[in-house]
Amino acid sequence: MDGASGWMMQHAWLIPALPLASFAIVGLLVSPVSKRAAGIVATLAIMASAACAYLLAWEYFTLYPPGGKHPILVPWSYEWLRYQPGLSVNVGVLVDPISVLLLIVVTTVSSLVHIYSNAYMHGDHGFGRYFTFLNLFTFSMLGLVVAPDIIQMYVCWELVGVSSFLLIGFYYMKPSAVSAAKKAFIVTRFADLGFLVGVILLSYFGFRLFPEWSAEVGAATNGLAGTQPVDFAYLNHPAFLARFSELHVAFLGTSMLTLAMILVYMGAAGKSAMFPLHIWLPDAMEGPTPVSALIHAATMVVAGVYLVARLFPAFAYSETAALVVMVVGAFTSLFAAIIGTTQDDIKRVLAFSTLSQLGYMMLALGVCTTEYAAGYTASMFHLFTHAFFKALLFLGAGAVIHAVHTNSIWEMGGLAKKMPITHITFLIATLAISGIWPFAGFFSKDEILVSALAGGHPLVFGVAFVVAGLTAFYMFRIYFVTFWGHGRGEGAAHAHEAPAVMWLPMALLAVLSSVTGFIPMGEFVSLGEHEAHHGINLAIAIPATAVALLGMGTAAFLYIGDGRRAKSAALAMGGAYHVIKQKFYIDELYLFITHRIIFHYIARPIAWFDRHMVDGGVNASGWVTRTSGRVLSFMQTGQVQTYGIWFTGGVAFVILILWCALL
Amino acid sequence: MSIIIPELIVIGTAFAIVLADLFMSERTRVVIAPLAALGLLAAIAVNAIHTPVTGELLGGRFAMDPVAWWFKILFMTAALFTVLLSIDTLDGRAGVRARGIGFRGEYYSTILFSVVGMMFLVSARDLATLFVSLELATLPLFVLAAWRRDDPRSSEAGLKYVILGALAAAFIVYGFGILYGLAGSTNLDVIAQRLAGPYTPAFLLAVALVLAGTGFKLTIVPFHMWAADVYQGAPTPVTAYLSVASKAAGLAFAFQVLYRLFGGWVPHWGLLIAVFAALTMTLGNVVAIVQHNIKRFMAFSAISQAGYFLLGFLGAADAGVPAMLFYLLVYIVSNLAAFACIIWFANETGKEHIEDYRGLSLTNPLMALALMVALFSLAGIPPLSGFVGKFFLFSIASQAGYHWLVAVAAVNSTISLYYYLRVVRQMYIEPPADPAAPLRASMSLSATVAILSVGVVTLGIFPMVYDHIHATTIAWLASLAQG
Repeated sequence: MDGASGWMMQHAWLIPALPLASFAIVGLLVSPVSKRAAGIVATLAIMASAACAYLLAWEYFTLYPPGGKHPILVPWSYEWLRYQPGLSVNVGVLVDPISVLLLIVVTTVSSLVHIYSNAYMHGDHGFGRYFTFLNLFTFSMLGLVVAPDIIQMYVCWELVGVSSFLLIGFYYMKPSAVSAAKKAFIVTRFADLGFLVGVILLSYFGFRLFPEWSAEVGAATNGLAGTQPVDFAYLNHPAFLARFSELHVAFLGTSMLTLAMILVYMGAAGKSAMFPLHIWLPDAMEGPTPVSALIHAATMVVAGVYLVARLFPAFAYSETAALVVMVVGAFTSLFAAIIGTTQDDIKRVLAFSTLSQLGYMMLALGVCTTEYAAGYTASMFHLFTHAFFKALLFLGAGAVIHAVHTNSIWEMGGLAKKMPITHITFLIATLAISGIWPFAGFFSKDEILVSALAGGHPLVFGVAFVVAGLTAFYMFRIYFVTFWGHGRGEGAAHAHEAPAVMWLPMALLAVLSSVTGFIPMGEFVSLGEHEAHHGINLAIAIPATAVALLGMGTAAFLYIGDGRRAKSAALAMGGAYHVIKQKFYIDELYLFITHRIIFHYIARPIAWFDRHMVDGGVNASGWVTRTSGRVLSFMQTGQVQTYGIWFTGGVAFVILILWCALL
Repeated sequence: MSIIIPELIVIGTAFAIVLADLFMSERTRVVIAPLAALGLLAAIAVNAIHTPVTGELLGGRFAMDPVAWWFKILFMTAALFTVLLSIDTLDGRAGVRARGIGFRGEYYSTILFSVVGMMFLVSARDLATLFVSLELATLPLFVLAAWRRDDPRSSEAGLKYVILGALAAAFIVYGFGILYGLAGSTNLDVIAQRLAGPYTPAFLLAVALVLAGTGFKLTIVPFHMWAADVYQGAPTPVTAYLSVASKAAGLAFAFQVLYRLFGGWVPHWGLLIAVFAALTMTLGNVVAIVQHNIKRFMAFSAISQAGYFLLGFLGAADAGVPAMLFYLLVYIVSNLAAFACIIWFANETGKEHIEDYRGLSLTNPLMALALMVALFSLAGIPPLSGFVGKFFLFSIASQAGYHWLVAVAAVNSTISLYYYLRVVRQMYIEPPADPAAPLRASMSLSATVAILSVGVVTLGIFPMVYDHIHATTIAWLASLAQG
């Protein structure tokens, strides 16, 4: 297990440690002194962390060249909590292709967003606080990515949730931001409850089955010495999964494994905003735009995808859990794409687009099995490319919002001439997400479509195919409305290009969005036997490109010009359009369920019980204590004679006790 | 000879103050308090650095051992902070000047005499020295309690204290007389050896009399009655001194009595100690709840704390002695920190009711924070030092098998949290009474509060202090076993 060599491998803990140190230093020492310095220190720390991540990737793939086998290494770990002999939790760093991939994505996007934010947040009241939180987030996300066991994963998972909460609610004077932050926190916490129960199930049964397991596989001789019952290496081991799936949950009729994995998936679905837990993500756009780019597009929301990928052998072993992943992913993908076509707020369109793309990644994981694991590669590939072009889209949107001071696309327009660099980079990202050759999205989307069809799921393939067309449509819709035509608002008339600190990161992301598609991902990330899928499957690529072009064309037909055609098209759709625009009334449904049903029929009786029974008991004990205090204080008469009597009585009492106890 | 130098320095300072006071004008008398503080500081330094931790003088009547060494440091530290806290009140640097307080030379020298008494008390090795030094420690306290001559409450406090103190002294000296009669020696160690035999009714009577006197000093129920009235009536700095130094002296006396004089018997008296501990904790806590005057409130809080101290006598000495000494240190620091805020508030407003503290967190946030931290430490909230100290004491009782007592103590801690929170609630939740301006605080007082607050927090976090106490007192226990 520990064939690790190389300096960076041994010191891989530096990658999350640098942002953590910076978080403490910036938050406590730098930020109160100089806000400018806070931004610079925070940015430098993340860039140093990024450099370490690149070095680590280089060392790993030098050691295990592309195309060969890629072992899972834990080059550094430290015993954190020891519950009892045979059950301790380590903190450590796990290095394998997908953690390296995520490290690259997180540190790269985070560095660029940090740089960008130095200009975007300039002059903001909470500048220092902003960078402190951003560092905290980056640390938590990196800690999550490198977690070698499910406990560290869970701790960092919650830390990520907290930093997301803090950043969504960054403008805490704005009621909408506060309620969005609360919504995000409550919805993801609710989902994390499932995750927690899943973690408990896995660790409990993992610990119970551990002795048999280590005897059976010969853990010590098999390179698994030192493995703990909560480590992924153990939880993903076929011998453990076989035993775990033999346990049955009588009242559900499933195996314990399936139950645990579905509960874990609940957490993943919350963080990755899968239907029906997606409602927090569009509202999360209340946070500063660079935060949306980093957290709610490129990194945190893919944590759920990453979790499923990390536990992929377990999900694949329980076919039911994999099926759930696939169905939910496919449905969310389509559902969000449809809503995305009708929204007016540029960031909300991007948010629904993110939902849809996350669904894509999930469905790719769901269709793959241990025999045919192309979807695994495809999903990670799409995660990788999506991070860059989606972050770029958000940063571009941020630049536009920064210039015109509104989020509504109908108040923009004609920005292509006023903001040429933003325009070009946004166009590249739009082409990438629409899946147009040679931009990155084309390749990763192609892999997903191939894996769905070849994995024997034609229906899922059909959904993904339709979503590809819808994606091109809604992306070009906002592109045409924002950048083409004439300026429609006051802000649009006076817009000007973003400063270099902002457009440089965008330009870099544009380059990444253009070229990352050519990376032969299968050589780096694959599961089990190396897949022989190379290059492009023309039978799928051509129709996919065609449907994307169709979407583009429709958008151009409807939205170039004065938009009259779009209005008549909306009218022609009648009520359906309205339902979609209101996001299928899912939020209203939630309100109805929580307010009318849960609050009324569950919360009220509990509150009554609490107020009258529990509080009554507490109050009674308080009353008894206070009353005895009042009674006893009468002893204190203020008369010296009384005191003397008590004193003398005390002597008699001492004699009495000694007498009784000793004679 | 060198083991008595700290005492000599304190005595010398006390006399120097009395003499200097004669020749000073009222205006130049401000230097008296710094002089007293310097003398105490020098004595502490000499004791800490120069004095050997073992040795004896005067034919074995005056002896030094690690426990005495620690007690002396604690007595002098308590006195030093009392002096620092008295400066504002005595110099009249206060928003509301207290009536009839002054006579700085006499005041500070009286405190110093009382400290010397306590220092001799813990070094005494024979009945006569023990009794005389106990009286030397206590008599100045009667005077101090009545310091505000034209305040009837202060006079009442002094009078009650002197009457009950005389009663306690009478019981003690009667008990000592019987012991002398039974053993035929005044040497404590010799008495302890000769008493190791079957019970006799006379011995029982002597024990009860001496223990009652100890209970008086330590405010053990039902010998605690004086505390509430005296604490309330005495000038506030004197109340602070009574609550820490006098209690420390009580504990030192209890060490002398229970470990040296009746060392062989104490393991059989577990039930007695447990019953008194439970009574003291419970009564102190329950009655504290209904108090309105903050000084009276602190009196009952101090009574309940005495109950916690008793837990330390239940276990083996090698665990109990360091635990009690550590808790004494924690208690002195926390209680003085709380009193520092109370003295400051009384100086600036002349008010002593808990309700008067409302809104303090808005007008003087740092003072409110210091008071809150001190009270939370007394309540035993982690990670403050009070928690650690209580933890050691509770674990001793639990190891000795007194689980019911630990349960009682835990319930009492909860009750105490309630009444400490009453003060915190006034400061943090209730709005200020009138358009409140921040109250000013003098440099000396602010610095004292800051030092004490740092102590309250750090004693709980850094384990070195306890380790050091533990390591040094183990040697003392070994010497006890031989003697």
